[in-house]
Amino acid sequence: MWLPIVGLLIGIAFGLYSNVTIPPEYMHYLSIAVLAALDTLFGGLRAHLQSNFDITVFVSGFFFNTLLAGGLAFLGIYLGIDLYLAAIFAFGVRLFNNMAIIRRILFHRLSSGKQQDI
Amino acid sequence: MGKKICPVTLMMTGICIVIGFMIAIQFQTNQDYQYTDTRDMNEIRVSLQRERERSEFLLQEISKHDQLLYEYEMSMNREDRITDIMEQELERLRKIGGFEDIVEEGFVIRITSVEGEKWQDMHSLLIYDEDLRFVVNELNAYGAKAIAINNQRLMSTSAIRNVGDKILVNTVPIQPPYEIKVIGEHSILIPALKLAGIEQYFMVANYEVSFEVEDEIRVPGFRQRVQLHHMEPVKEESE
Repeated sequence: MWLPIVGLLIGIAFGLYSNVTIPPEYMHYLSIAVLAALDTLFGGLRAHLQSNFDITVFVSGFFFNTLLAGGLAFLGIYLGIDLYLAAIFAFGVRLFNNMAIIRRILFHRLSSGKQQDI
Repeated sequence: MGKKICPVTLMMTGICIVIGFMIAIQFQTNQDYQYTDTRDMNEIRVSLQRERERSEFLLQEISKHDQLLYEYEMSMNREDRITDIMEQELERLRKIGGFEDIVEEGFVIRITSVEGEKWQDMHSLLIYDEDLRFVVNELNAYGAKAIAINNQRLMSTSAIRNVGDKILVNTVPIQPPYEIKVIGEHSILIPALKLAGIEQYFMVANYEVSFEVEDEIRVPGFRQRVQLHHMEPVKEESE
């Protein structure tokens, strides 16, 4: 459970340290990609807690969702429709759903008193 | 913590690193965003007005202090020195206005007719006022300090115009060959004239142009009386 958080911190530190910036016109894509990645992450966590985790689904979902979100944003810009809003909406809703489920599972485990290591 | 790390956790960690990296980049890019002004037109106008008032106030302060400084200097100078200063000022103004001879570094432009051309006799006037005006304009544009055509000093009120078959400068008729005395940077002015095509310009009229740089050239002052019809000196209000 701790290792992914450590990984997240490592990633943030590395990103800040490397001083990489992207041109502002690509910020939309990156924000969507971050959202998709976070969504996938929490989805994977939830699946893991519900013990129906599938590594291929997780990894493929991560890349596919990220690319799909980016592509949708790209398409939206060319069509003049704010399609990235759809992606934000979908991912946001899913994120909150997953968070709620994770919270319930964790509370359930704590109250039942059997702690299971992830 | 001492358990074996399952591949799922490893995967999660790897993806977490990627996500962290992405978030950091996003954060940094966001930091680079410039502050955008969210004030509306009215607020901007008000602040502009405020700044203008402030600038006006500062200008008033400056002029007040300048006045004070001037008064101090005046009070330090004695009466006789005041007249000296005024005379110097008058001298300076006369020099600027073109009433005084100036002896400085400069050059002479000579516009002479090419010899051996019979048909020139039929046209005594091949150079017109506008040709000389063209030269004078070029000279003034490139910063000549003083100009005299055939020793007629050009001032701000000088006119160069055709009357009959003569060119009048300052209402005085002048005859070819034309000699334009110029005070100024010859290293700038002569190339500027050549660039403007002065040589080809007069070549068409069968005149040739020659330049002669001199270390000290005397440009005479304006000798006639200046009549100002519509200007009156300002009467100072006694305080």
